[in-house]
Amino acid sequence: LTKLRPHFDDLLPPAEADLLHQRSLDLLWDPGIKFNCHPALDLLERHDCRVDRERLVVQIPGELVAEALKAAPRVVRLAARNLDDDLVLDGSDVHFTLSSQGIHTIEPETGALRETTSTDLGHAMRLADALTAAEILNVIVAAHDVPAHVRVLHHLATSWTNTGKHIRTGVLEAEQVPFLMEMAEIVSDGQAVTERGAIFSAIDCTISPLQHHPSMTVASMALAEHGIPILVYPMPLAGATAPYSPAGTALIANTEFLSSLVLYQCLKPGASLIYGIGPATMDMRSGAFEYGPDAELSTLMLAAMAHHYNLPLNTAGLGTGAKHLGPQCGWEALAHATLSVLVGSDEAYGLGQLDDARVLSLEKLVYDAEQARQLKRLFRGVDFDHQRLLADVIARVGFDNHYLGQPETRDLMLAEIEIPKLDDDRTQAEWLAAGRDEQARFTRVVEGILADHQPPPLPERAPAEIDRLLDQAARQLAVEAES
Amino acid sequence: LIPRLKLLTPDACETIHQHSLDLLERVGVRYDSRAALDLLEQAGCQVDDQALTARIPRQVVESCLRTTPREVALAGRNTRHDFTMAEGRPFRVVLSSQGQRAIDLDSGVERPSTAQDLRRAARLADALDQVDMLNEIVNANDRDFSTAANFNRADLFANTSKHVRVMPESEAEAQALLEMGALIQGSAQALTERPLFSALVCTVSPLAHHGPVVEAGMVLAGAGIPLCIYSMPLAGATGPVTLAGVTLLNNIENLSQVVLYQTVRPGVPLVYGAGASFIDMRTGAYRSGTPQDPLIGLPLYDLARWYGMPVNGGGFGTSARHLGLQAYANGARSATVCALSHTDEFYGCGLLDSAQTLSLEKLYMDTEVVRAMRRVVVGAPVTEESLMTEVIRRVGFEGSYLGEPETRDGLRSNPPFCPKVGAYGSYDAWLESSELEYEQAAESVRHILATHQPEPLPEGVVDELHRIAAAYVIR
Repeated sequence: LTKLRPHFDDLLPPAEADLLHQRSLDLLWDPGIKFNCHPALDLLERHDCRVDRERLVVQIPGELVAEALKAAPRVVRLAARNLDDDLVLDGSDVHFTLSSQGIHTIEPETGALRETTSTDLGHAMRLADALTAAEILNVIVAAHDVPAHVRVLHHLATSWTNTGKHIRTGVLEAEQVPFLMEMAEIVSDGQAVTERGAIFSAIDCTISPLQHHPSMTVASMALAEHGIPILVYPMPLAGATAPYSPAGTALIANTEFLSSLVLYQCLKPGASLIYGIGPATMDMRSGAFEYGPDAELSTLMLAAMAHHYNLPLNTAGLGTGAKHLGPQCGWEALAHATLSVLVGSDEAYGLGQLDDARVLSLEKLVYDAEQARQLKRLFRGVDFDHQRLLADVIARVGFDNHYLGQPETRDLMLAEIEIPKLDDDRTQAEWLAAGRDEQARFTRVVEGILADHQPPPLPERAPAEIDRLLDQAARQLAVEAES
Repeated sequence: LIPRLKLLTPDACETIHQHSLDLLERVGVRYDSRAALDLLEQAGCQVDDQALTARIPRQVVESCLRTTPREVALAGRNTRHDFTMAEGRPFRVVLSSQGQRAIDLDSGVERPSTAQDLRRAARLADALDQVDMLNEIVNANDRDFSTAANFNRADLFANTSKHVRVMPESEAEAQALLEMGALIQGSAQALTERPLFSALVCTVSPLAHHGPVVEAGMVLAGAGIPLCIYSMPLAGATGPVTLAGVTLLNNIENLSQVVLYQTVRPGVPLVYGAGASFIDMRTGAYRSGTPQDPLIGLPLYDLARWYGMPVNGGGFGTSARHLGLQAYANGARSATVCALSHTDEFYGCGLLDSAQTLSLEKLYMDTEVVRAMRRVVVGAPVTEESLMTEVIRRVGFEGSYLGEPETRDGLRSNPPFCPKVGAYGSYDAWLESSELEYEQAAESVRHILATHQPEPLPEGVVDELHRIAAAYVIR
């Protein structure tokens, strides 16, 4: 059986890919990359980069990039606390991730925003644990009820308590890493990093143009040393932190990615990295970032580069700038996610938030998971062989007959057809009578899942050990924060 | 970079083609028309007079494919709306067709569609720069059925100077169309040279045609009017349940049309239709927007290109019966696939409920979504100039690109995409304004309907169109 998948024909012709790569190499050398942290400078200096310690700038030679590209693996394994939820990023499927970094959610009575809490995070994680198509669970919102210096640890504790799936988070301070690793061992009975992969991964956002975050990079280096995969995520904003052209924006992003690739491969040859793609265009009316057509063009260029480098890639997916579940949410989320699937992403981002990943919506999470499930059908493509062409059946049925009663229809139906769930069959009149409400039917699903779904339990002694660890971290990290 | 979406390999196209030739030769197709069979018999087909079928030798198919043009030129009343569809040209948006109901713009009530709905949709589409071709978007249920289709077309010609797609179902309708077209374009010859309308002709799956439709198609093809050859096998019911199988059946039926219309008039322009869809397992009926929908067109688009024919692709299909989240979640998925596949015709703006119900707000919003997609489909250059390496060096690590002259120039020559529908500011500002997409679109539609006047036909022409419409009784 041949699987024919949708694909772009010669998306970035070799000459254009070479040019983009070559200009990235040029920029890595001149002006170089501002790493903003000494551990990175020290490491890269040992690997024959030219380092300006005063300006914190590293000039990276092309040969080092070539070596790093050779060392980085195509296949990245993302394990999970629950063995059945292990994932392998090898190009054979697209995996949807939760959205991340949200700060607000909507008060149902007033529609107004309020800050998110640990309870919101826990609910989102437990809900996503039950939704099959949510596969990589980003820490979707911040728990504002927890002190900032230990927030990441609480995020992970809440997440692991509520899901057995792979978790992803950004870590801003290297001091948090030992605690995180210990917690990962506690929740997995000492299986945090195995040949199945690590049970969590981290995101390292570069800072456009051509900079790295001073503390996030150090923390991510510490995690990478432990074998935690890193999603490198440049987010250039065309016209503001990147040139106002899809290619120029892509060039900034690719250059920043390559600088991270060199860093992590020098640190640990063979380190698992994911090529993240997060370009945006500045909305000239509001100054906000916007994922519009030009950003999609940059995405296409960068996805082609990830394929060119033979690395797993993460694209924008089901995100939207819409403020409610309505037409704009439909066309933005699905147009972007369809593009993500078509371009052969290993990971497609963005379940569960509105307003450009700022506002948590559990209702959207439910709907997004169903859309993700349907989009996986698009990714699978068409099964093509003589058995599936059914030429004999076409001859047998002829003109005056139908296919309903044919044995092949019965036998192949389930393999070919994905039955949509959560379709909204309300008439215009019913919809208007409901005040154009799109939430209620998803709210019922959310409530049902939160009432019934039990995530895979933690090891028996884990809750107490996590509490102990969080206490210890609160004391120790507070002292360090003060000093 | 230009994104060109594909699915089939050339080998897979060849396999489907060979199976198509084999089945056309071995099983054949029921044409359901004496006139068609007479012609096909002369062309070398084996005709069964009782069953009204023809078996088509492969050399006949091959020879008809050779006379099928690679370009299709369509015209409007005004030459400014003329365009040619061919490989490498931009896609053309054509409205959805054959709806039976409409959502009233003012009351929001859904009801059977009327002649006024058709005229309003035509006038709106005439004003929308993204629409290239109008269509019989809804039927006028308030008209006398015996001539309704003719009067609908007269209304379309009067309310737009753009190209019009029609779906005649009898010889009389085709004759009326030719007469109307010749009147507007100046002569029968002028109509052939600049076809004001083109016709969609649809088979009856599996492997059959409807005689009166075939005869309408033959009349129009004879006059050199471009045809969109269409078939709508329903996978699992009137077609094989597999994507590969329903593609094969759709292709066989399309080739049976290529043979007929190229035999009528070698060189008549044809657009390859991709109308296959999946049965709704719950109701047994046609349903738009299923999870397979974005996939089902792709192999057919590839086949059309493999044959060198322009192709009609399904855009915004949705099963949603109201203009909410699902309408666009469904629609955006297949529209994205269709646009990125560079289908020549981008079909399906304006209807909800599996192409049954007109919503003028949807028509407006659809074209806004299309506008964004066009910007992606044309691609973007990856060149020394567009990479702006020197600007990146100049800005360095701390600077901003906002003040750079290249940014200013870029913003001027290629302004950022500004959607006209949706919320793009802060959440709080949106909550304050409580402005929703439906209302934004309704307001724009009302403004257009209040202000836009299509280019009028010359004095007396509308009366003459009505005289022609009344003269050709359909049934």
